[in-house]
Amino acid sequence: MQHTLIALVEDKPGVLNRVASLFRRRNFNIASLNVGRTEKPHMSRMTIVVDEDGSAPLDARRVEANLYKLVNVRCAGCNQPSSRVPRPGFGEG
Amino acid sequence: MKKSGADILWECLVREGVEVVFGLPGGAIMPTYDVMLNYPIHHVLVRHEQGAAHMADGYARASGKVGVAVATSGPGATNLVTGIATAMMDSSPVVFITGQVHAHLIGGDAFQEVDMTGITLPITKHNYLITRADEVAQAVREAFYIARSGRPGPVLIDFCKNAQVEKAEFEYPDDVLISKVSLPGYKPPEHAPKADLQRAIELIEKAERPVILAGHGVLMSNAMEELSMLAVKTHTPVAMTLLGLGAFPASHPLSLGMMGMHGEAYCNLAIHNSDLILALGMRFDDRVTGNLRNYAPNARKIHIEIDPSEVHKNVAVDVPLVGNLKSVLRDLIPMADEYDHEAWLAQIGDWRSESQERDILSWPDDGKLYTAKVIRDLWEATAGDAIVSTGVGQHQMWTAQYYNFDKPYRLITSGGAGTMGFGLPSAIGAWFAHKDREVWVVDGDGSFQMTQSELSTAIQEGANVKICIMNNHFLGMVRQWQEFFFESRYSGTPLRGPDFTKIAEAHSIPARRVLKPEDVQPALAFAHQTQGPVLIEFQVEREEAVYPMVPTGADLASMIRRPHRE
Repeated sequence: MQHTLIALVEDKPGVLNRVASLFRRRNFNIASLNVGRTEKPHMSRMTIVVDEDGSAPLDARRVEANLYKLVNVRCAGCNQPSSRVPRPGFGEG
Repeated sequence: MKKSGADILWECLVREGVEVVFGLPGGAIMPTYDVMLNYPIHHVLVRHEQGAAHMADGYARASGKVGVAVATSGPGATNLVTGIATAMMDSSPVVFITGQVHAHLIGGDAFQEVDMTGITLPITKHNYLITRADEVAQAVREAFYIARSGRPGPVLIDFCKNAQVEKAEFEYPDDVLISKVSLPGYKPPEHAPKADLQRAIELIEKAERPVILAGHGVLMSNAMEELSMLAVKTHTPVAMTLLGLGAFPASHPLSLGMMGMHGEAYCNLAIHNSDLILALGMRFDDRVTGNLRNYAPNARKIHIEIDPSEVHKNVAVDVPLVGNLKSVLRDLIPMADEYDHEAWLAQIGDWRSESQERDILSWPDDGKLYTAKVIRDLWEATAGDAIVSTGVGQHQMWTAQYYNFDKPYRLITSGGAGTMGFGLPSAIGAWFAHKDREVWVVDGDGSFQMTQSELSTAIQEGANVKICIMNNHFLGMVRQWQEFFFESRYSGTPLRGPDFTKIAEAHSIPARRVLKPEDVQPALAFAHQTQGPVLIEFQVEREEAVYPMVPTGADLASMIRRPHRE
């Protein structure tokens, strides 16, 4: 079972490292990760495919919530408008 | 006007309301230390940077302000790591400033160079590497904002030496929120949606056996009054986590005391048998829940929490209310009514009587000196109102059980990380937040030895700390586990320490040793009457156990209880 997340992150040095470190710390398994600059100034879009490992079901919502906690992440789960992670004041996807 | 990066740092710290910093200088942070003398901020020189970290943490917990610790690069910075992790686990607002080598030397294994931003990524809320002087003001402003807002936590600023020396225009960013470019991804939630509040009220109305679980979030949100209003209005008993102690007065009839692995038996039984749990600012830590598979099996759960990633993390809940606890409670309380839970409260009362019967302090005096008794005497001697810091282990648990905190921000203890050595330095930090008061340390002989060199700091600063060492000549908590689960094979736990009274006297600190129960109160009085640091060593019963205990893997109802006295 895989989940695809899209996150909008600040285009600053070290942000990719922060995301990777977060995933290692929370034991989320990255199947693939793609990041690139967007048309928005200073913003990059990350597309992350997360693997479920054999033992525990993966809660995509949990991955999103942790990702969103990173200061440099503008929105997480931007491809899921119905996501229940609260993002007060957020208006773009 | 152009100022050096180091000057800009201090200018910003002054504007953030910083009055004291804890640190130890070195090569990579020297330019910052040099200009510090021009600013009205007091510097506390520590003997080990771990002490600085815990002092800044203790200061933050006692004052509600952001603590600040400063260290140099390399080993100075890495010595902070334990303290940073401690602050992270307990969501303590501390800003750590470490020196770093010249920006152009980074990555070349320079003298005392270490990738501190890399090392602290998982243990900080956020961190900054400053390579240019014009980055300082924005980074410091953001660091303080991030440290104290939402779910508080430690923030690290790694400060390259060239950035400290080079000059830049100093512009203080007055409102970091207005500058949308800087923190667009960081918006701590405030109020919960009305529909969710409504669902919560429906559960509250139907509940017959409700329990409130109050955690550290109540203190961090300054929501003690709201908690009290909710509990009293709805006649709901209140259990507390270790870091939630003091959120609700222990002396109140609705208080259930501490929950969890070493919590009160009647408290754990209440949670296990409840049909509704209202979790306020707590994260269902494993010390608190016991086996998750059988945690409060018949209870619906409401979780008021500011950090969305904590919701459903350990325990799936029925109604999450994501927001600032104080605001959410203010919205919720008017929607609630008075409810009758007489039968439930009576049942809890029965469990409470049974617990008290087994309590070691209910038994007649057998002439032995128990830590529990020392704590209870301390509680009486200080009218239950002292600021008390602890190390980690049995003495810490006994402090939580026997010092009945009625007021918040009094217990300074390492919960999530369980860092031995936290006691003395955090007490020194807490004293700086309340210089008109004395601060008590309840420490273990093992924990104390880890940071005992900060006695020098205490005497250099005249910190009014009263240190009580519960000397049982063991690493007590580990020994207890070995007694219960490893057939008393005491591997690496018998502990030979120094004569602590001589250690104190070597620091010009007055000291006493207590061997018998009747000498406890006089020793405490001596400590209170003596100005400045005092150390008392209590030779306590060596092989005592903390009861009750929920063993790993057991559920809350399967506690190991103290055997009835024959």
